[in-house]
Amino acid sequence: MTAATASAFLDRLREIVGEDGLLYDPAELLVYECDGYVVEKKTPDVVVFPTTTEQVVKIVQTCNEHDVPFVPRGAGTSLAGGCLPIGGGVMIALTRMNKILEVNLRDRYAVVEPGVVNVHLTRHLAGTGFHYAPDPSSQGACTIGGNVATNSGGPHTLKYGVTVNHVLGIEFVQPDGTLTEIGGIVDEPGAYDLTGLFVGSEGTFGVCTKVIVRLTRDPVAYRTMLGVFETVADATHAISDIIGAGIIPAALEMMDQGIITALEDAFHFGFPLDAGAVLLIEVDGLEVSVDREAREIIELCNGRNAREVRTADTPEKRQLLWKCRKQAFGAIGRLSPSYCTQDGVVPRTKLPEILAAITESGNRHGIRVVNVFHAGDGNIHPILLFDERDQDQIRRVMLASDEILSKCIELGGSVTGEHGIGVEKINFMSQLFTEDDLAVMDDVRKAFNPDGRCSPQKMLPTAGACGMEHHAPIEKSHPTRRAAM
Amino acid sequence: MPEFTPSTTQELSEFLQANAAGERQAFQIVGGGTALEYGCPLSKPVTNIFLKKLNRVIDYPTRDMTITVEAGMTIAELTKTLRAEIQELPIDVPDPKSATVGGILACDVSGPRRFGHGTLRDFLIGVTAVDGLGRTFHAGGRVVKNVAGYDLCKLLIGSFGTLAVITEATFKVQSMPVPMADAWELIGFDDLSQCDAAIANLSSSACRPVAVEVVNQKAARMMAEANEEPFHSTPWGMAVMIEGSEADVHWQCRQLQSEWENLDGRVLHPLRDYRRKTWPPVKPQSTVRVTLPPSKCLNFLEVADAMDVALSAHAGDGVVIGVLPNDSAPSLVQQLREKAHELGGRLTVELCPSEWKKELSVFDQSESTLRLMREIKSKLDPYDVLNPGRLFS
Repeated sequence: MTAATASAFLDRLREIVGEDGLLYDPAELLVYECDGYVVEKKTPDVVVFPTTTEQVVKIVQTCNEHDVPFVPRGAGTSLAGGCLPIGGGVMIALTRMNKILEVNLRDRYAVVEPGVVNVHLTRHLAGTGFHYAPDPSSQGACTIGGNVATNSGGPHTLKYGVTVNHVLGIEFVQPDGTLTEIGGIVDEPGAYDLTGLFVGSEGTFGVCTKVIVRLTRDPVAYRTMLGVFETVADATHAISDIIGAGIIPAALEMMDQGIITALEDAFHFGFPLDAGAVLLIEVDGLEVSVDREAREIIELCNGRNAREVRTADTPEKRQLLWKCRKQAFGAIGRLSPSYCTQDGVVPRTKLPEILAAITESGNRHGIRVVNVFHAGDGNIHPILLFDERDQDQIRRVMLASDEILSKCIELGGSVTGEHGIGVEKINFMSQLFTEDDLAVMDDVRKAFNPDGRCSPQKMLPTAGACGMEHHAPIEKSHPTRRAAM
Repeated sequence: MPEFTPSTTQELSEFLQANAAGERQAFQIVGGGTALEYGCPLSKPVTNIFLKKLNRVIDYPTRDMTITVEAGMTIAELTKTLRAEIQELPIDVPDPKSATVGGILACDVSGPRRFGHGTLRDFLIGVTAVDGLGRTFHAGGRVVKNVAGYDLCKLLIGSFGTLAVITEATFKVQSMPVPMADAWELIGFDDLSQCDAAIANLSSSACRPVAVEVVNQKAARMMAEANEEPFHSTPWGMAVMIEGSEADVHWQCRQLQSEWENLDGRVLHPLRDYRRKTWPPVKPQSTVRVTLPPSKCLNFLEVADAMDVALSAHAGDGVVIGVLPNDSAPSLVQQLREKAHELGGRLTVELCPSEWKKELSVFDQSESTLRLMREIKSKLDPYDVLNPGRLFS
């Protein structure tokens, strides 16, 4: 029996959240053994479902009293193992803290609990003339708290920026149980930007219990286009031409033939199955300017041998185009039993090179790779298809992933544009960063999380050692983490 | 210890490492020297570290729309480099010929166009810095989207050089429409309720102004005098800036004027241009910066106007810059701060006679933030050698 399953400990958690707010049966815990990164699994000892900030404070205090590690979790849509409970312990699932507490249109902010599903806020704001800009592809399921943890992006971050650009303040429970507020709706000159630092900290600074988000005016007009290209190379050159011409579309997404086929099989959108790639391009802004930009984009696409450029001339057609982009990942289930979505990023002008490298890597390791990604900001998402029941396929997927991400670094990019490091990419940190970089990051983490009890062994390869040695050994089950630690 | 002017990040790193291992002298970090009077008085004797030799462009892949420069480069030089490629970093900086990249990051400088474009935290994507122990560290990178590691770029913006010396910065930049146009539309009001209605109207406007400025009569007079222009001010003036292509600007100006037709204000042109880089137009003795929920901004302006403060506000963002009368006393700051707190805001003293700083808090940080700031400072600059006391004791 571990400290986390000792009856006194469970009794205390039961007092806080009630029997209804607790899972500890091994069969029920299986649901929480992984997130969207299915390669590595670990069940927590207990999952708790607080409904209030006060409960979170008490849960964290209880974990401290019993020397039990804990990890926050949203909807589990993370793709890098960001909420994997390394070392077991308590998983604090925040999905029941899902209230929109305040919307203030004049001051352009909303206050939400961390478990609010991203798209629920969008729907809540429909018709007000404002929206919450970050829109990850998983926005129908992912939570705002999870978006804060990973600084997630989405198609519209090309023009509007990632989550951190839209978070004004955060309330969180520090790993020692202290309830803390940082940031807020007014600037705080002379204060370190702790909110900006917290966003993307992947749950290693504490448990977020409230978020103040910025609201953005809806654009007056959109033009949404679908460019159909014979080859991936033509499509990527068109992307570079569009940005190079000084046009920043609201979104610029690319799907290759593998994805087009999967989508067409699943949803019958009417895509040309023989096209090499399609670009989904959206410009927004003033009515007076979107037509001019759209005309220019069409010309640039034609200059790169586009077979055709379709324009969505009704809101329904625009919705349909976006629906197909957002359902791309769902359609992949038709292609293979498992898939691993990579999340590299390169300077935009290096897209042709990285796409060629992805194809080569897939071929070399006998892994089929399809691509759907945020081309406008150089954020690639090669999707490696495999069967997780076959250990050799897993090995080859990891080799191909490593090659692709190393190539991203070589081209001046990074190994994650929006999913985070989690456990998946921890061994890349020492490729991306120097020892001093990592030491400084570790120091910053210790300012928030000195004992390392919150989200142990995440993100930083050095973090495994801090203060956890006296606990039951934290397993290093995965080869990449073993290497990193 | 003599003053130090490093030519490379490595030189600075070795210098601070030796200092950490040896006598632990404290330093003031100097870019263009335009903001040395800001902040709390330094708590120890210091020697200057000048960054003026770190002034090179490291990398400018124009089609990727990012630029990496050294921290001692002046903003004027950065602007010139970007303009040559029809690109810009849309941050308004007073005194761009002197102010440096590192300096504006350390002080988190922003101006009127923050309403439309955001602030430095929206543009800084990578940073190299040296902490108090002499450790050179990097965060972010040269791609516009990158979430690997902690976002130490954000941590350093507005840290007033108390955690590390920024030596290189990478920004994402914007392209400029060709031909680029901008215009200020000005409207005068007799009272603030009319002005409030005009700002509320902007929330549903078909236009997307990049700046919304409100000035009181005293400020307008100061600006007119400094710019040697005629002064035709109403008690309150609102200036709205539009920028973009010529067609965009032309359309928006016409649209705004038609939206304003039913307002009680008068369209004015009291200044040829609302000079975004010249407020305050002359160096005053004392200024305060007040940050408020935007909807409360005008309430504050009304109170401060009655106290004879010259006021210019980025009203859409709730930021008010007030120039105090020359004969004012610290008690005026206290009164203004109390009003700011009552409205859910904060007041920072930007400039004041040095003796005021003994009795006034320069900054207005929250306790929880200060607690964490001290923790972080103790890790990155444990011997308190970088701008000691500038932000907190």
